[in-house]
Amino acid sequence: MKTLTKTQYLYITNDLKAKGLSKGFRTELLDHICCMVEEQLSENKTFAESYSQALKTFGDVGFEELKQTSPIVKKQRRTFISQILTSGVAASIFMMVLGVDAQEPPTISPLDHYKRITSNFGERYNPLKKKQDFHRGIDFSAEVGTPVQSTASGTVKSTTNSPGGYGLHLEIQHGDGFVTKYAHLSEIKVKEGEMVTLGQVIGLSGNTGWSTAPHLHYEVIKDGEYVDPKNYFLAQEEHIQEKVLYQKAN
Amino acid sequence: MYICLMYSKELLKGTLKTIVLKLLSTNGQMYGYEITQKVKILTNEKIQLTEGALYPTLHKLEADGMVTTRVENIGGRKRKYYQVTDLGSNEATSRSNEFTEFVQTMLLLLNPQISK
Repeated sequence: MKTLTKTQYLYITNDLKAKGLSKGFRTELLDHICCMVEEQLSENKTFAESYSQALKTFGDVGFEELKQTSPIVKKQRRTFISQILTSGVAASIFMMVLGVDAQEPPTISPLDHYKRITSNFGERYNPLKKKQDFHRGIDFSAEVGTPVQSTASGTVKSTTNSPGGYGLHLEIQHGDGFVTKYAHLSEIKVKEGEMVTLGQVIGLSGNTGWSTAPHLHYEVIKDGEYVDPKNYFLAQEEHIQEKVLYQKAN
Repeated sequence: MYICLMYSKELLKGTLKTIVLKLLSTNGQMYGYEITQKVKILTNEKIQLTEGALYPTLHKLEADGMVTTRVENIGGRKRKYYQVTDLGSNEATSRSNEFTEFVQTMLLLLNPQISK
């Protein structure tokens, strides 16, 4: 079996580049076409004849087909786009459109429109324990059955039912060490290990577990530490000054 | 461009993964061109895999965890080798068993005399 010279190899490489094949997949295809050419060369054909024969066998249709059907090519095309979009604004628009690949902290409220926040993050009066305690998340008043959305893209870490605590609840693992938790749900619409996108409805709010009224309890955990979820979404303007229920002054 | 010659597209559709997995589990690691050549030789040129059909299938199998890949440098040229995982190997066995059984069942319908 004859092998290609370095010049011949370079020629094919550049020609394929010109045909617009993406980088990662081109390597594989390049080897394939080189093998085809070598087979022709072994039949004592010239390089030009061999290469045109290989391309003919392959056909223009073949290139088009590969560009369209190969998942690797698609993935690389995406990566390429993300390299272009270096500015933060552009990147976030890109993430909004494509969703899945985003490695972003939570950016939206878990409820599309909430009535009010009934309990904030931090020290608060616990209506069930009837004393001050530390509230690890925030509570949104919401009727049973209100759609709850994932606040960033990620993977469902766990779905659990704890009747004496969080009730029906789930956790989502996001990029950069973020986990979000959604509790007291009436229904969970995703499975463990499932990938979710920003804004995907993951369940319905409810009144399960240790809860005095229908509401959604939402937590944001960064590297294992509870943080104030309010820092991770834009509060609806009309609620910013809203008096928070259950929270005693001093 | 699909697996062509001799047989109709409809007939071969759905067997591509079976062919690739079975070949890889019998022959160990193989690269794309090698697979096309092997199929050509084994089937006496009756089945020829086209690149347009083969590579997307390989990439799909890789994404599904059925095969793993390794890139080797062969005389200054990068060559990507495919190898079945345990999952892929099991899939190869069950797929080829299923297909064999399917052919036998088809024979009952198409050629009742033989099976009697």
